[in-house]
Amino acid sequence: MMARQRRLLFFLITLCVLVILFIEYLNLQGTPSFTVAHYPGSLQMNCNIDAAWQTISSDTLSTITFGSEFVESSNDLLCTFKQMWNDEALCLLVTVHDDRIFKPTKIDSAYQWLNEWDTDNVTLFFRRKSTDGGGEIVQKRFICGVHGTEDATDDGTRYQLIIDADKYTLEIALPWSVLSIDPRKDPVYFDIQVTDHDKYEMPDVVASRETNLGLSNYSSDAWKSVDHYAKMILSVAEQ
Amino acid sequence: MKIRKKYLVIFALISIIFTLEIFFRTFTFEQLKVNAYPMIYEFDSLNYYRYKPNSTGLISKPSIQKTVVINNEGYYGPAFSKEKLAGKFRIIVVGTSNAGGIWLHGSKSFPIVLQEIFNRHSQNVEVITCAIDGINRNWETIKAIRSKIVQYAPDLILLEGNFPLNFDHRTRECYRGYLMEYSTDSRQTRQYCIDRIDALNTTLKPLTWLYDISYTMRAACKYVIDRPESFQGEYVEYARIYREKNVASAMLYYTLSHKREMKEIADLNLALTEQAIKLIFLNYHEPVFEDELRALSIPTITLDIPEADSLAHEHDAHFNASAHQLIAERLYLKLESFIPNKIKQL
Repeated sequence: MMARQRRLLFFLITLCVLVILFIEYLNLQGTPSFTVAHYPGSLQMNCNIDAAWQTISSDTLSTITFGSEFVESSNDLLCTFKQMWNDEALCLLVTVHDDRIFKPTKIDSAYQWLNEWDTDNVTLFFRRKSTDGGGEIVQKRFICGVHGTEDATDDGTRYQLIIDADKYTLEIALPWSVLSIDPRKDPVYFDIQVTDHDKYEMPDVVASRETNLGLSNYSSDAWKSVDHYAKMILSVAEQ
Repeated sequence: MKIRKKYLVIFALISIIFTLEIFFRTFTFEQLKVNAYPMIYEFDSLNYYRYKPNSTGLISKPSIQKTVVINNEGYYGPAFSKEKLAGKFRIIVVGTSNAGGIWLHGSKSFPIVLQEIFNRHSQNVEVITCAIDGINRNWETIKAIRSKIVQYAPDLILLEGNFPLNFDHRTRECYRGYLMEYSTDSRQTRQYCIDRIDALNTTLKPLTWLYDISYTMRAACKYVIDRPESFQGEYVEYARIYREKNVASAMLYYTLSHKREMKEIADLNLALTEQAIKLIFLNYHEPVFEDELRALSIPTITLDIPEADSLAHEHDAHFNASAHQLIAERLYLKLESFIPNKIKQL
């Protein structure tokens, strides 16, 4: 009788532990982190900082959050990015290798039903510190074709999107004031999502995106929850 | 004393588990029941998938439990003859799930009720359902009218007003008790579905066994699946697949521009008119592109069915039996002007 009860107790505890471990496994997929180099100078927000980028190593946006079945090769979709910061702004250089670049000049009636997120685009997400101490999401989307030459957005963000035959490059300087973040005090959480749109040559037909790359191990909806964002580790400024 | 403590722990654990099981089985029995998807789909070279003629399948999901019988022509509904009987006025209802009534708990979809009303009024009208369920199939439906449905020689086609006209090259295939939905745009998508089902049938079998016997496990899975903003990842996907008995790969979907969709509809109407077939667009709730369709000489019927909870299943958004009854009654009145007098006077 006692032995049977012991076995039952062991079974129940094991069951509970397994359930707990399973639930924890779902949550403990790890938040990626990226070290961001400090730019030792005063960044002019004109995106003209090419020499500085050469000293920075790049990271690869390796997680396919949607549509891995549609990636044919690294020529089809591959993204690398670099980051730098100073007291004024966060700068990113995102390079997307894509053998078929969809570049509408604008999203208008010619592309009726086309969603912005279904284009070839780079979308940045940041967790902005809100006045009550919580976090809200800041989203910046840069669409091939629509966003092209260097420009200034309403909030002081500067960017340049250059399209070559088989790749496009986005250079962006995002003022910390836009994110309401003090880089020397506040943690910075972000996500980068890159979308590939290859099926665009059918007359009068608009196709959805094929593939989405992201930083987290979650789905392309990961941007909805700042819990899934990656953490930026801002390296300390050289004195 | 030590032994009494052990007994207490065992008793407490068993009590908690039993209480949870009793609670979930009493209050969430319907939401947590084991799902079944009907194994009635097969590849179709023209419309990507269709129902297997003369097949049967079981639907089991919250709010819906029934056996589905597919007729001789590969549609959910009463069997019918390809050849129209002389003197009969043949109406074919074309659309997706609501038109077909496959996701209705019960068998009295609105085309069947409409047939009963015509019969009650001794009118020589035959109502046939040619609907295939699925999302992003509005363009496939138009294609099916041209390629298949005209062969049944209808006098009138009632087409659900589903816009925009879209498609996604999605096929459906049944595999080891699951429904696979994958894109024919990529050869890898089918393998994606097979790999997941195989994993559920081998390495994940102990978890699926636990799911089957324990309502507590089912409740935990439901909690996780229903909160995608908090819980994501491969195992959540497995839980969803096992619960729904359905695995879908990534899908590309396409949408015709409005200019193109109107041109396609105009061309379809022209082709149907040449064969003396009347095309009518059917809207359950509000008119859609009514003026533009009128300009193409295509009438629309709008039934003003309220979007009320009482007209949908409790745990499923498809129309319930009350909604189908209401649609049939309103449709009968609206169709009056389209039925020839000689048919009505029989």
